[in-house]
Amino acid sequence: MTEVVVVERLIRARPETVFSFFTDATRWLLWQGVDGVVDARVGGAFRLDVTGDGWAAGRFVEFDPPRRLVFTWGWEARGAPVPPGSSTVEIELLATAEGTLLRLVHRDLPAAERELHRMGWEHYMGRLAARARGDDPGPDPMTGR
Amino acid sequence: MDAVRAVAEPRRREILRLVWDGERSAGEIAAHFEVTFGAISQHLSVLRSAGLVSVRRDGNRRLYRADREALKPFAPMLKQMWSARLDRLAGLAEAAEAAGGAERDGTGRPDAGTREDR
Repeated sequence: MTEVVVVERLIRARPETVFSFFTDATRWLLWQGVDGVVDARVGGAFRLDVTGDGWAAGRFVEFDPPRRLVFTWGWEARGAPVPPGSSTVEIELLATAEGTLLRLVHRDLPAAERELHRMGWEHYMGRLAARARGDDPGPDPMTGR
Repeated sequence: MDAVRAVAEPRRREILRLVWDGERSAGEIAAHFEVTFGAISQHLSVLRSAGLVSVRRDGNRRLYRADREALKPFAPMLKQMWSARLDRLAGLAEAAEAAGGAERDGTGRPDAGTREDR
């Protein structure tokens, strides 16, 4: 049993502009992570320090600017519920009249009964903490209309 | 206090880790910290009211443990992570677009010319 997470955003910018934030570590770190390396090409690897205390790692499976990228995703902490290589993130950018519809699908996540052991969940708690500090996603533009 | 705000405090996250795999008394928990027993007791009370830990009486001791059921929703937490990150990405992309800094070389990769590893 695995779970899937889907997040969509309507972004008022062209797909090329949106995609430019995936092209290397400097750009990527503007929106996710505090440190890391990103070798943005098919077969290239990335490592990101996503909270300051947890590293996520993966490899690009598809890299097709400015429309689509697919990469594996996992956390390196021993015992993490989602180890590197175990799950897959697929991001599609669809040009619309208003800009870009970004659709992120995170697949192959462990089902609820396996998740969140000791080493792994500090990461999620950190995320929740960031959210609690005011890093609030706000209304979803896709559902707010 | 809701669960999100309850775990926003680093010490409360540390307490949750301590009681993740088994029961511990308030005294055992407090021994891990440099702060007063009263402060830890307060944190335990917050975690309890948020439903993140359960408590059991054993004689005159109170034993705490994490309520894993309450912490179960893995996918929603991951969804929150991606939602927050994509909001940031959206803001940056919209700002870049508005600033007109999105002149492209046709490849969709504005940084292609500056990458050193191609």
